[in-house]
Amino acid sequence: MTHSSKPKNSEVDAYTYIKEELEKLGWIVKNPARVSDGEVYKQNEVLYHKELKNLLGRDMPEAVIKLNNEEFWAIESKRDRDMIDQALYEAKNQYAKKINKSKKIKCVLISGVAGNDTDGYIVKNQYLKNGKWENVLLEKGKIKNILLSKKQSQYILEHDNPEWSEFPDLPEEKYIDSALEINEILHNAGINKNKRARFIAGLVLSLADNSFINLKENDTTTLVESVNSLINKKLREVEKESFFNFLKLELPPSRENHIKYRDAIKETIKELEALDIKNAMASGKDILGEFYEKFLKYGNGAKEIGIVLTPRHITEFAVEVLDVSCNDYVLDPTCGTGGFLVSSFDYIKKNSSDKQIEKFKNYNLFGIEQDDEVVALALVNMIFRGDGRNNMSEGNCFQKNIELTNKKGNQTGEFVKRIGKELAKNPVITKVLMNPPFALKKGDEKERHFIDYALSQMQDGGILFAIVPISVMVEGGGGKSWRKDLLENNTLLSAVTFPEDLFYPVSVGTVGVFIKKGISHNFDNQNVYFARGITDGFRKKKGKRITDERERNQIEEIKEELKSFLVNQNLKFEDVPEFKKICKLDTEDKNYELVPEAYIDSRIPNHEEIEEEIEEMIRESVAFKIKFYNQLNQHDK
Amino acid sequence: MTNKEVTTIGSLFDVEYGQKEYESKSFLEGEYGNIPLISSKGDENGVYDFYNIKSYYKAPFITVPRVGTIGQAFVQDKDCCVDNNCMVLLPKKDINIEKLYQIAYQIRLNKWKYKYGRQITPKRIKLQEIRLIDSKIDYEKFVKEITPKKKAKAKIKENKNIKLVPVIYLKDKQENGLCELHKKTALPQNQLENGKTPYVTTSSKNNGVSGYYDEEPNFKGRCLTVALNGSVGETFFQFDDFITSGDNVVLKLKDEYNPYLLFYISVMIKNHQWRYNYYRKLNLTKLKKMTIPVPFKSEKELDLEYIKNIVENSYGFDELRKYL
Repeated sequence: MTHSSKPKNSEVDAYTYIKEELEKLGWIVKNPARVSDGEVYKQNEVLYHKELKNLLGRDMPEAVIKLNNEEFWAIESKRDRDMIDQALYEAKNQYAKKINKSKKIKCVLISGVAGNDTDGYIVKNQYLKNGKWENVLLEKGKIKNILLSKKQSQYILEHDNPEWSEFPDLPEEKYIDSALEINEILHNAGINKNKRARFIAGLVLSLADNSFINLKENDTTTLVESVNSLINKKLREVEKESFFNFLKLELPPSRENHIKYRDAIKETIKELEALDIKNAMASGKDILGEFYEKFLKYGNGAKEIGIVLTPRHITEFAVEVLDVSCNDYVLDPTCGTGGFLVSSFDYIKKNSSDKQIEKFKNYNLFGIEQDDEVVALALVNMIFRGDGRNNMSEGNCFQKNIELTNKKGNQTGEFVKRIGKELAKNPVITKVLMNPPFALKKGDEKERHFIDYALSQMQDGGILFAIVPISVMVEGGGGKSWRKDLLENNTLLSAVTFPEDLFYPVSVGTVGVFIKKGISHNFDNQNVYFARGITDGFRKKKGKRITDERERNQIEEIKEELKSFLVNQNLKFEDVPEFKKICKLDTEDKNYELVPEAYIDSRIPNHEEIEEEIEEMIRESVAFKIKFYNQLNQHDK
Repeated sequence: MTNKEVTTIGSLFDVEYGQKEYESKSFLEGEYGNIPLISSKGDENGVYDFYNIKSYYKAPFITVPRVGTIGQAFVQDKDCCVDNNCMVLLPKKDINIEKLYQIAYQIRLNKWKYKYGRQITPKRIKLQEIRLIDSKIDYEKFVKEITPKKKAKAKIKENKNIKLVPVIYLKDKQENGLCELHKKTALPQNQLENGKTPYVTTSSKNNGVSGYYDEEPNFKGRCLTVALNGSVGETFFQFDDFITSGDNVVLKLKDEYNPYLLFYISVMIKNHQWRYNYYRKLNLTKLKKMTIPVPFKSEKELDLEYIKNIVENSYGFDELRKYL
């Protein structure tokens, strides 16, 4: 590595980094003087702003961001990571101070950025409140290590005492970008598709330890060993050493590929740092889960490795509707990266005492996942959530029963071998949340078998939530008799249609069903809540599916109602045609179709609508007649 | 060989890409209006949607998609906007619209030359040779001839006496049902020779007709077809005798033939489409359970007058009259 003697050139790396980061974080990186919606003056572009020009003279920071007409954010960069404090100092004393002499405008945010493309970057942000500069923190007092998104800076401007746990998340695009970026790195390094997720999980875990990983290390073997020892250390701490084999980095057998592999490690760590993933572990948010979801969805081709992760907003929806409590025993028999378990744990954290939280994470969460690779991801995810000693099991769920047992005076469950379709003798599970793998080919395990399995592990009266393809709830043949049996032994509480694009880019129609275990469905008295939650506040944009406040969110609209309904099914709520309805099951339906589309009312159009729709139809008919005039001339003869 | 009729696109047109600002259309949402925005669609003259925007290109001119339905040229006869998924061919000098149609047609003939790997570009399209002929077709006259006349709308008094009635008549169960239900099998299209009889499939386009074959119709016209598969629930009024397979059911009125009532029923059946999809198809059992809102004159008598008024009030209906 050579240091350039020219100060301007040496900052080029950082300059590009800042520009690209700001872009990913949702800023419009264009000169505001030239483009009306531009927000970033880069280097000497500040000369276009009269007041800034007067104040700063020839002294220009790396970037000045226009937060609004009066308020600005100054960013200064340095080439070495060690110089972070210097960068922040200059931003504060060289630039902010000068700007704040103005009576018209103010500099209220400053950032120091230090590093280069080889070593990665670190960032410090401060904001001005009551004449004092304060650190921008994450929850638990950790300093935020990346630049601020647009929403985050707005949050700071609007709040006198920022509550860091309410600090807005990074924009989804940022995760998607990182996921694509990392996938590209791993692809170029020749790392096999189905090894990529665990490669990341291993690195993430090594970052969880606060030890420093020397990115300047040139010997691949040494680098891999040091990362592996950190992984091992972290696993030992949570008594999960058995997972080491699923998570450790493996040197490529051929020496020729070592350099590529080394670079992939370095590049990936840098990307993960740019997501601030290390600090994110301490925050209250499922950032890693969010990242996994995007990585597996957009980076890795979910279809090819057969993992379709349940989107966060749906796991959160289910946990809230089920109102999971710290006394519940929660199972996800096909837990993937642990989305439902993480959401359950997060929900408990909001509503319970520290003692309850501690007990819940050690004794009340159960997950099984067939794919070793994926279960390792789930484990890493849970470690980050502060739950290391969870009951996560790899292997085939059909061969395990979860039996009631007692550990250190706490009621819990343990995995024991299951023979045939044996029920758990002393079931402990009270809530199930699951999204079984969808059977794509003949011979795949049918979704309904996973539901049967989960029910076999539950206490009577417990509630199961499952996301299944619509066909499971409407198909004839075996499916029909299964549903008949299901209702003979259990009660259907609710069925909700989800958006076809929920698992985008895979398109599949799904329903979420809520089933109460062990009590025969009473066709005469039992009310069922049906809803079509076909919008969820997302929109598709350039091949990606991201949230948009302007989009309708019917899943959110029904959440509170459904939560109350699960507790008391005699509650009345308004029936809305084409949207929702509470009613009894149809005893005449010999197909046992258990989907909202079979029960929800049609809308009766009004006079204007009828006129409009008929005219539409007539126009189509006329157009058809014109278009096919030659073929259709038989009447004119 | 020299031929006066043959020229190149480049000598007649300036060719450029459409407006970059419309590449992303999300910001236009909710801004609907009456200026067409042309994109890379292969049908409906390339119109993506109508927005409340300022038209940018002056008609007449030609648009050619460079992605999507690559090379599907359309003549634009209304001022409009075009996104950059298309190339825009702006006449250097006035070219009459009849000639523009001749040119668009010949651009389409060359579609096979282009694909994603080999882009259609202004440079390439400018080199294309075209032949212009003296045509007898007068565009304006032709359009006038085939478009229905506009007429003032009559004010119709609303009938609020609406009842839910089963679509299907069943002798012992649903006496007040409206239609008789028929279903027949037919040979698949690929086993038939081309000819004149329309074959109605479960398509949502072209009245459900996806081809014309040399085969005896298996249904008489003037009835409704309802798709059980494919575009499930798609319902069309069939004018002519046609062939259809078991993927469609055919509905005829139980009482005497009444085209107005049939049009009305078809709209009401289409309103049920949200219940059905790829996974949950329509079948006879479900169709027999279906009820639709219908206006009544008295306790038992349908308000056919009201329905007829609404149908007749629709723009273009007079054009259809002769086929009913």
